[in-house]
Amino acid sequence: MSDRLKQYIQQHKHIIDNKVPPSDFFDQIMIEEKGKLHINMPKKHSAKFNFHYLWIAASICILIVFIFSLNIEENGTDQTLSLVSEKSLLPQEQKEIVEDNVKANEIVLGNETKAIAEKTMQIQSNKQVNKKGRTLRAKTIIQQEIIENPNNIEFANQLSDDHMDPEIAVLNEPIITQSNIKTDDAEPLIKINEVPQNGNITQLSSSEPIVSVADHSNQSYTIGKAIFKGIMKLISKKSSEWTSDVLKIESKELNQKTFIAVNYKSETVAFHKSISIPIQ
Amino acid sequence: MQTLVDRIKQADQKAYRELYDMFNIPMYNICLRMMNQPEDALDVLQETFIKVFQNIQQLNNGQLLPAWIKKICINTALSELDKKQKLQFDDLNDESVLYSLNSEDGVIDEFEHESNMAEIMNAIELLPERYRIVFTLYAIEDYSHEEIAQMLGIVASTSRSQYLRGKQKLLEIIKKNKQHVRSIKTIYTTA
Repeated sequence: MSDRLKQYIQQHKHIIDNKVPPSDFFDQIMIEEKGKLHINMPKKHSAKFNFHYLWIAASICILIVFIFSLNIEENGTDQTLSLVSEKSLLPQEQKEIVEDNVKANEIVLGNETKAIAEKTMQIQSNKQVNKKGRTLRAKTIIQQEIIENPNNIEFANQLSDDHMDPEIAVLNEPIITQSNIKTDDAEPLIKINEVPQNGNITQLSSSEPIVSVADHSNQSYTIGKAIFKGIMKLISKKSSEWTSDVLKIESKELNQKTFIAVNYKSETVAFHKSISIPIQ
Repeated sequence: MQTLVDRIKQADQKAYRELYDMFNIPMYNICLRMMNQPEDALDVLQETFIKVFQNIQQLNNGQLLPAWIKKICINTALSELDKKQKLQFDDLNDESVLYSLNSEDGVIDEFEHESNMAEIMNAIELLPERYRIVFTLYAIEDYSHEEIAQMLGIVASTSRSQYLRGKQKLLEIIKKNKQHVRSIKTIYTTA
């Protein structure tokens, strides 16, 4: 402290520290900044309005508006059309343009509908032919296998029209409807008039459901694949669009056997498979 | 001191009052010297105690409480001054101010009575703000030039040169005042 002035000030500092703040200054600090300080004081039950319920009500309102807006987005095109047709708020010229567009769209839609109807008819006729052919082929395979394996005689009896158990028949009913299903098969695998090589097997009628019984390992693999495809298809769609006819699995126990039937349907492929497992 | 800090940490309202009673006068005087206006000093004092009460949980060593409060007070005052007008501390040449500091001894020899301390304080109030801040922090609050440089965001040499300039100015003011008093005394004695 070589500085003499500083030394002098430090020696006499107590003299200059003599100013005093106002006596109620502490109370001012405590009152004004009470909220910031978080001092433990006895809590008073304030009669303030409880905003908790207001927040809940507001959040519910926001949720409702959000759901409503989602619905609007989904039905957006319909609502736009209804707005055009119902409300005549548009100027006359714009209204005429809109009407012309609507007419043009109607004509295009009409033509498209007609074309679709023709196509559907064609597909249906092809399907019927294909189905008959496939049915015959499938039955021929079954009959061959039944002959080769004497253990399956019981099941062969069930497959005939006369002895088919009504419950199994229900399982085997195809869920495939004829509309909008395309198949790559242009020709039936076996023509209706074709006679199976093993002539001693009872001829099954073409109206019978498709039931293919191969060895269990192959069949279960095919069924597993179908289930996998069906599940993947379901996952790829919105949950609201899930339908039971995409993938339908049913099981029945009858005559010491478990019958599992799988119906799988996609936009391009549809088939029905069933498998029987002896109950041990 | 540690007990007091612990009680404040436990939100004992009486301890808040005790701490205020212990430090309000020295802190208020620091605020006055820094701000030069009683209203501004009270604002800074209030802000200081609020900061102290809010942040005392961070203070582990109770023995450091006086220095800690003083530092908060000075930093608050500096930030208030900075808000009002940007403080500028020009780097000055020390050589130019050293010539007149030899006359310091003569001035200090005359400070024999306590009332002379009041003269110094009055002279400090008349200093330009940048000199007053550095002079107050160095000569009265006893901070080193390095500490002052850290507080003000300047280099230590600038703090030193600002202090020397301020000191020179202060002595000039004191001399002028003394001459003025002497001339008045002469007038009265001759009359």
